[in-house]
Amino acid sequence: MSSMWDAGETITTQAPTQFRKRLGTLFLTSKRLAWVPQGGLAPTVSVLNSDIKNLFVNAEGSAKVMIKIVEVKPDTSHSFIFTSSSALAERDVFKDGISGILATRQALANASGASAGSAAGSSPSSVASPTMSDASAPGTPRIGAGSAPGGMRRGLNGSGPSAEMKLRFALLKQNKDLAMLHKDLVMGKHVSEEEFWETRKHLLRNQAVMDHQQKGQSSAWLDLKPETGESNDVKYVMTPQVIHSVCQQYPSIKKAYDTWVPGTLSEAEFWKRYFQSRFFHRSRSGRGANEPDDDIFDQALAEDENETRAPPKRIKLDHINKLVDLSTTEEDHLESYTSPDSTMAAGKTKESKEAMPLIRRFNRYAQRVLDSTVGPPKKTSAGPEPFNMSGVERAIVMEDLQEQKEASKIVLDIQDTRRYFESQGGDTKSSKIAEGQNPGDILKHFYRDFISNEVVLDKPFHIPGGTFDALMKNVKVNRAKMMPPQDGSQLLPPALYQEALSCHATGNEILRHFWASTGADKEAKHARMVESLNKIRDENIKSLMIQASSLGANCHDAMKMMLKPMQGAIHKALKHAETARPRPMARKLPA
Amino acid sequence: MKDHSTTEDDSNLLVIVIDTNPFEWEHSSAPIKLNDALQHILTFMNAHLAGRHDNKLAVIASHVGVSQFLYPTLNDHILGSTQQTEKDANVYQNFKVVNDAVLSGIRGLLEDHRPTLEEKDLGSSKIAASLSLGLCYINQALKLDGMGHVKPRILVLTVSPDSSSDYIPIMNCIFSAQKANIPIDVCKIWGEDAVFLQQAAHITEGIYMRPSDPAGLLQVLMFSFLPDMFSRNYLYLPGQDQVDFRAACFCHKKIVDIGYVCSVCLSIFCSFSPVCSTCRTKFAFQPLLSQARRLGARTAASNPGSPKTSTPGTPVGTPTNLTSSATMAISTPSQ
Repeated sequence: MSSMWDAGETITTQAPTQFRKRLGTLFLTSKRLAWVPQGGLAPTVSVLNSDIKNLFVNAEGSAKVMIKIVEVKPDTSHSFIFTSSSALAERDVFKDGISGILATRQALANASGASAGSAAGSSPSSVASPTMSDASAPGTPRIGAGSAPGGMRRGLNGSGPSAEMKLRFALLKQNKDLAMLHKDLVMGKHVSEEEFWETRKHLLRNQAVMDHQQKGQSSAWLDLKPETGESNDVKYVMTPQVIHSVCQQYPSIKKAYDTWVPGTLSEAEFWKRYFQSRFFHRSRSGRGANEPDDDIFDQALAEDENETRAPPKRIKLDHINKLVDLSTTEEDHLESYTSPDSTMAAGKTKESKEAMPLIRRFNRYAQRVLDSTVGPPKKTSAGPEPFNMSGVERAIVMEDLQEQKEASKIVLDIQDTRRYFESQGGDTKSSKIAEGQNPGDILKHFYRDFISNEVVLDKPFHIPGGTFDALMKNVKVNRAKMMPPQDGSQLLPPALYQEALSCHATGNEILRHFWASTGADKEAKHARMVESLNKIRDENIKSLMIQASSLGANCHDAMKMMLKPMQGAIHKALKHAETARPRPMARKLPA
Repeated sequence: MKDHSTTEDDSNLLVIVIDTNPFEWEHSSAPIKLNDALQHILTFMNAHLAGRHDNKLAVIASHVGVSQFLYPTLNDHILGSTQQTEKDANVYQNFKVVNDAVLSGIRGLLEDHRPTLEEKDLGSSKIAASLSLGLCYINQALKLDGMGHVKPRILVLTVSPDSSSDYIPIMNCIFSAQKANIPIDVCKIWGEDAVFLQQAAHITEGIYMRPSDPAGLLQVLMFSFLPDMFSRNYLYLPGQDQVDFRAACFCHKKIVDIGYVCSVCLSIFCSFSPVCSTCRTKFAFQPLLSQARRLGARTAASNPGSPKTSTPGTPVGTPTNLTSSATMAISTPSQ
């Protein structure tokens, strides 16, 4: 029997089960889950621990005691029925064992993926266990550290070659078209990896910037929703993220946490009491004031209520220069006709009185989120302004009222606007006036002519016969243009069309490299590009044409149309290559 | 493609610009006399007015050195719509008012034997001024309407070649029309294609026509330019949409694929020069293309390798591809 298992593999547990209506034994080893049929020598089902994605068990008390294992591979699962008399107990053993495996893996993934592992994942029971208690699974509250997504960023802080490789890889993964082009060009050995990315530095830069950008903390108002288990138990999962939010939302809780944990209370205890406290339940309906007294949280509650009830502190105006501060001379103006405006004060009406604490709470929270992201507001001035005139001047100048300074501009000074026309229309054409003729005479003659021949509308028209035909011809041409084009996208099968497109993209890229390497210092690359262009012309384009012509004349024509610009461009490039460097060729040949 | 803002019940405002340049009409090569052409044009105007009871019309003469409303004239607005025209039992009164106003207006223009002739641009028509007048008139009409019932369009009947000094004003008119969604239809009655107006029609989605035989002008006008904006949604109309947008360099008038564009005045040059000859802007840097580097070194006016200044407003010139076609972009260094 021991030959079935690999070296170092130990059987954790085993039980008689039925699988696909055959009897056998289910094993859970240190490496895998395996099922051996009765009398069999080797397992017919073998799932490595790392391949197990999930497990399900049917409800207790049903006729069969089943366990279902889902593999990471999609649509693969195995159901086993426990057959022995103590089926239920055996299944629980298996369930706990597999849950443990899953939980360990989850914890590992979390530890390497995020800066702080999910608190819930650290205890095996929380993954699959149906028994959930109120306020279970506390986490390690690392306040303020939760917002940095680790993993991804670690490698990108450096600018070494490996960082760039990662960027390239990420880009190719995101951009399908680019990946396609990369495959054609680099795998096809037309251009080297470096050359390919040379022209795409901006993409890499973008990607790097995007990766570097740190995601700020969510400003959403935290809404703790319990997960309800099977037996009406309520479970709250506290991740560091959630704990951070709670503390941010309620400074009094943070204060209490700092005071009591971990000295007097353990963390789990703290949060358990929090969820049971009046503080937590005050805003929830259905739970009145029947929570037990809790001195920690009752005090926090009182602090919190006080804070929201009190109007916000007035901004201190210490930094205002005493010479321009009107309030300093208030007592000189006792007989004033104005009085402070009380109508606009908040909290006067019943409605606003109720809404006020809520609005203040939201405002305070918004302020805290903002402060945590951009830092606290800067102090405007270090101390009181000195009592001199320049200080007064500084105090009374309002920035908004200052005249905006015009940016220096270059005045557009066009010498001769006719040049614009000439670049479009060719030569300057003006009305021709025959040599030796006086413009005035022409005008006089024209006027006489106009007066003597009166415009008569009821004279019959003599429309030349060709006019209508010409118009109709024109209309028909326009109509043909408006019709949906009969080009490759309709005529060719999609796969071939795609192939033609990618051939075009590849060709374009190589052409770009070709023209970029015309300089004297890049002869080797230039020669390589010429070779690639030849290859594209003689292999890719020809093969596309052959494929298309096998589908009929229509397809052939469509393909010809599609590839014609590319062929022309390649032709031009190769011709340039021939004419541009006969000398180096000639030099090479004798050697 | 279809313009859903138009309906059957729109009132159509047609602004016709008639080129009355005497030097062209009187030229020995002119295939049709102004008097004869006016017979066609007036008939077309009447047809437009007959199309709907609330169709509106404005006629502007683009003369040499001056541009002027023929209908409605200034007096019409002051005295109401009636002019002192004798009634004719055989003619619909509305037609007669328009016909008389147009003819007398042209007569008045021709009477002046000394039109202001500009030295540089002898005898060119004031198309740009007429377009401006037309756009202003349309703007006023649209404001008065307020209901969005009036659908304007402009029809330019021209015989003169492009006037080179008019380029910028005409382009401004074209872009205003484009922004206000006013199509500019153009009929070049004879002669070579009018490049500006061709572009005008193209940009504003109007129709450009150059009839093969000006004697059939009425047929061309009725066939191509009579349908209103609503009907155009459903019709295939004649007109050419192939416009030559190729650019020539300012220095040698060569058609170029790749050129240097001044970033201040948008002049095009086939080779780099450190000072733009159109607007006198100085460029204190070297161009990027290797071919041009050689040229730049030859002129050697600027310091090679001098850092590019990046203060706002400093011109930045880069070799710019002047054609939009993708294959051109990669396959054609100008040789």
